[in-house]
Amino acid sequence: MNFSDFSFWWVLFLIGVPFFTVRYIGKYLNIWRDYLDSIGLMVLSLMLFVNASRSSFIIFAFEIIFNYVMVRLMLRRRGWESQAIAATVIGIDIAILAYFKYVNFFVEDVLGLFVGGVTASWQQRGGIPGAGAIPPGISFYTFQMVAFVVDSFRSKNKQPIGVVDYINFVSFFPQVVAGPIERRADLFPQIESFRFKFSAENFEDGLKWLSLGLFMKLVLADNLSPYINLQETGNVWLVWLSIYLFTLRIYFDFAGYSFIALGLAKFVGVQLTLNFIAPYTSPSIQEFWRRWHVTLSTWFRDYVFLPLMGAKKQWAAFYLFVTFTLSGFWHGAAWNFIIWGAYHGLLLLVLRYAGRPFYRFVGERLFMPQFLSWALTFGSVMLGCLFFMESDMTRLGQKLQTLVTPWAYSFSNLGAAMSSFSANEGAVLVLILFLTTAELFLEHLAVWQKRKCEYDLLLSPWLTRVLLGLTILLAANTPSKFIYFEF
Amino acid sequence: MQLQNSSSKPSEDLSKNNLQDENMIVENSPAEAIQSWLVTKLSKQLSLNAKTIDVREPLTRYGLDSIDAVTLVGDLEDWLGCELPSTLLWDYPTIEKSAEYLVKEFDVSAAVSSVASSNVKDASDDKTEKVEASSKSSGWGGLWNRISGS
Repeated sequence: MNFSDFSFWWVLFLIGVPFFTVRYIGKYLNIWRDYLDSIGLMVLSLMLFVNASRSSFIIFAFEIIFNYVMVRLMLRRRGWESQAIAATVIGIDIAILAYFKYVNFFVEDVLGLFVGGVTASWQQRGGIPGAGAIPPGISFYTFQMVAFVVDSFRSKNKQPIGVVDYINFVSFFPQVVAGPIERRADLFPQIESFRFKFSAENFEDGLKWLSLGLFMKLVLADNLSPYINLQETGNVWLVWLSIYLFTLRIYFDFAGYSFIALGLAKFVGVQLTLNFIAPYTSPSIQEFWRRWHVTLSTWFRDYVFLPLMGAKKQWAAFYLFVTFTLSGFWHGAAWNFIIWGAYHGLLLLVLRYAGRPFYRFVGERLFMPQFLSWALTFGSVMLGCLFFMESDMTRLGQKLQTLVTPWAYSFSNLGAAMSSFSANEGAVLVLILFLTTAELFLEHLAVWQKRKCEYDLLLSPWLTRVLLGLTILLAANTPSKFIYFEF
Repeated sequence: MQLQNSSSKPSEDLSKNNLQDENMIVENSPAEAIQSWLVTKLSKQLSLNAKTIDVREPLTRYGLDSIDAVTLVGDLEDWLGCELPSTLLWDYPTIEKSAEYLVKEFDVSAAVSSVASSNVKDASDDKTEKVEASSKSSGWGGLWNRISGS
């Protein structure tokens, strides 16, 4: 769901208020059955999906029905029959995703490399119907459906699943469009026993995460967004500034979304998985990947890396690289995403096979204080963000060339970069950067203090209220689209 | 918690090199034995000083990556003689948590105690060898030591 779209909150209000009024009266008169809560949640989720995208809803509805029927069938069968059903469902789910997301890329960018004129004629024809316009949330709910099939196939509990429960599991409104990608073991039991739980504790908890999420998205990410200049390729300082701002923006944008989802789910008594665990505090790239987009990373680990590798653990390095490249490809059907995935895979391998001996050679603690490890990790992530944000390959090449040109780092270029902003623009940028630094510092502090949750300090009651106040005061006038909606 | 401050110590160190008291192994709980095993393995795999490994720190802080995680679980399976989830060191990202989980969910006491008793035997043999060696060195060996200055 697009939480920065006013219509989301409006529809939530318009459906929620009458529904909860009826529910309250029904409960008071003791004529309200508990299972009606599940049906209410289902209607709410589906109506919000229709509001987000009517055309996509048709595809979504088809996939829900197809997956439910097939999983039900799979649970009744044993042995190869069950396996064949699982393989078919996964194959069709992935094929639908591939159709909308990758057909154009394969024809225009891959086939076009080898066969001349294909790209032009394909574009003239307008491609395959529907391809190119990615239905909102298709990547996320497809992954969740695929994981559900695998988990159900592996599960010892072969009890049939209820249709309403399945719809609620897949379409749960806080997380259907951009995750977190929930797993059967974590979310399904909560959905099966779902009752609206509007306790003071849930409200307080939900509000904390909601406040943090809204602040991250509307104040930090959206106010940084206008300063990211993709067109600039010549001035090295501006190129670095854009990379730095994008690195901050993508985190605040997506973590903001995830925390809003977490908060909304808490309001109704559901606990979602924490999708970001202060990734920019990581002192190593390995740790970064355990903290960044956790549910996607674990999805790729459990359904790609481990099954691909199987018992061939001596080939783990190769499969790790393949998995990261595939993860990049999932982010988008474009070369820059493939490069981004491969870059991270390669980074992990270079650190393992070259970094470790080097680290041993120079002396582990003497020359490599924690701060330096953190700075190198953050720098590596930043460079990766260049590949992520720049989809124009020509421009990407120009930017890389600028970054490695020593004389581009001149004072005259620095002066030109600084004078490219007006006094007001500069002041706003400094203020937002101050807030982002303070936010990240509080994450670091919680990690240093070994607190139970990395966001403990940011979720303290008084600070939550401050963040909510700052959101009202400083929210960007024109909210930018959630970056992960494009995937 | 730094390992040197805790009661758990690398089992191999206990059994072979630094064993001061055989009873220490017998007194070690299965969780501590697993912690010790993991500390020893990790220190070898990542070329770290075992004393600097904190069992409550995330393993990634020591540079553990996905490849180490799967191979370490494989080694752990061989040691404990049971099938473990491949994602163990992701789901329980510290040595302390992993050991606690293994003790809680798997019957590891038999494997751990057999290793501990073999360690005791090794240590005992080691001690006997040392006694024999020292008795030898007190004879001709002792003379040789004095002559050679060693």
